[in-house]
Amino acid sequence: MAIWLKFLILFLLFGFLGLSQGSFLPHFSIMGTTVNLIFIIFFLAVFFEEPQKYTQGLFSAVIAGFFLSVFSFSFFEKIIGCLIVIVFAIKYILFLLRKKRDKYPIVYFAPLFLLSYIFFNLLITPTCPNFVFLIGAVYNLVIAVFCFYLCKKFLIKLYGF
Amino acid sequence: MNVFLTKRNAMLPKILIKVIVFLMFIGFLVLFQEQFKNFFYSISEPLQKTFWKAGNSASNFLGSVFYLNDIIEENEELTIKNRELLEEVAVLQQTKIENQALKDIIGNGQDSQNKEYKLILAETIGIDGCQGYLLINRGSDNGILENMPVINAQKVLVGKIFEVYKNFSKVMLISNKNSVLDIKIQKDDTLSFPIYGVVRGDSNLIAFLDLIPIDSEIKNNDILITSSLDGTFPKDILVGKITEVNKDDLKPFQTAKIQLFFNLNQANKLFIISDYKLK
Repeated sequence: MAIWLKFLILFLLFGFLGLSQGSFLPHFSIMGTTVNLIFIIFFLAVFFEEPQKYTQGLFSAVIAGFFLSVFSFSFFEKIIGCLIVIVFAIKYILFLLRKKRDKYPIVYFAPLFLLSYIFFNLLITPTCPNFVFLIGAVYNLVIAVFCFYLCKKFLIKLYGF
Repeated sequence: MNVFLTKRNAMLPKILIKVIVFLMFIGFLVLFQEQFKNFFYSISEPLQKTFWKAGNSASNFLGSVFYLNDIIEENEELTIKNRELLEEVAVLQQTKIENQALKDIIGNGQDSQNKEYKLILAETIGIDGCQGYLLINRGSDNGILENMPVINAQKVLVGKIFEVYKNFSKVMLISNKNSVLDIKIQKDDTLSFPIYGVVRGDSNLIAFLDLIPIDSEIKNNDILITSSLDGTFPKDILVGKITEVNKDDLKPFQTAKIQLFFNLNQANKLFIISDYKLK
């Protein structure tokens, strides 16, 4: 797939998810916590990119950060900065982990996603992790794992890995 | 080795230029943050409204399917409560007539307490429940200012205006982590001393009651209303009700879990009290 087409799809996807996250999904919250689809797609974009490449991850960080701050009513610099830190951290961890295996296993995905989600939320909304926070993390993890398998199936069909 | 070093040196300016362009882009976004957001809210407003209405309808439909038994029970309770209230209204109407007659005799026909506030109608187009913010389609062009109180159609307190854009405003919900609101506990016994406290936001559309003196008698289902002590909100606006009292004799104050009357399904149309500070 051409890189510009990939980025255009990502841009439109983040925009659409931003709209639904701000206006549609809050009606389906569990104890006030909503699923953060932009963050999930951003994480998938970083996770499924080669560890030594950064273009897709950084592009996703800026666009996801932009839409997250527009529709989550936060500051651009804070969210984009936080996502960029996550990109570099995930890339570094994946680089260390994939020395032995060249796959995208769920055992890497789930803990890394959970750590990133906690880091992101604690930095954006400074709060003590309580029961509701835990519910939010589990809720997002379940959706993220579902998206992970969907993405993997799609990539296998497209690229054969 | 030398070839590697030369290649690396050649790549350095490229990387540097990329980093500078990237930082300039971020700086540009940050500098024109307000304009960018207003622009995006303007172009996405029709879609956001559609999404909001679709979400509301879908959640109402699903809610009615999943909570059918609860709704039946609630309906029965409300029917009984409604009957009691109708009786009370009849008594109060009689008292009102007598009161008005007395006022006419005294010559003080105008009741300043019954004056209504000037309200600006706004529509909700987005919400961030986790952080406790809401986006409405009225801004500085409509006369909205920071700290104006926001209520819903049921005269339940929603929050206050936090940030104003040209055509949109951000409302800080009373469940926001940074929200602290002075309240009074409404008691049936009008002769007893009023109990004051604060409602603190706890994010995720949750808030709790705090700073209630340990010797004050509070119980479940006590109604909380605004007290207007801090001057931001008018008094006697409904806030919520107590659901669980936490009393610890070792602490100077008691706290309580509360259920806010504000609910997402009633947030389609909101009202901004625009002249409270002027009164």
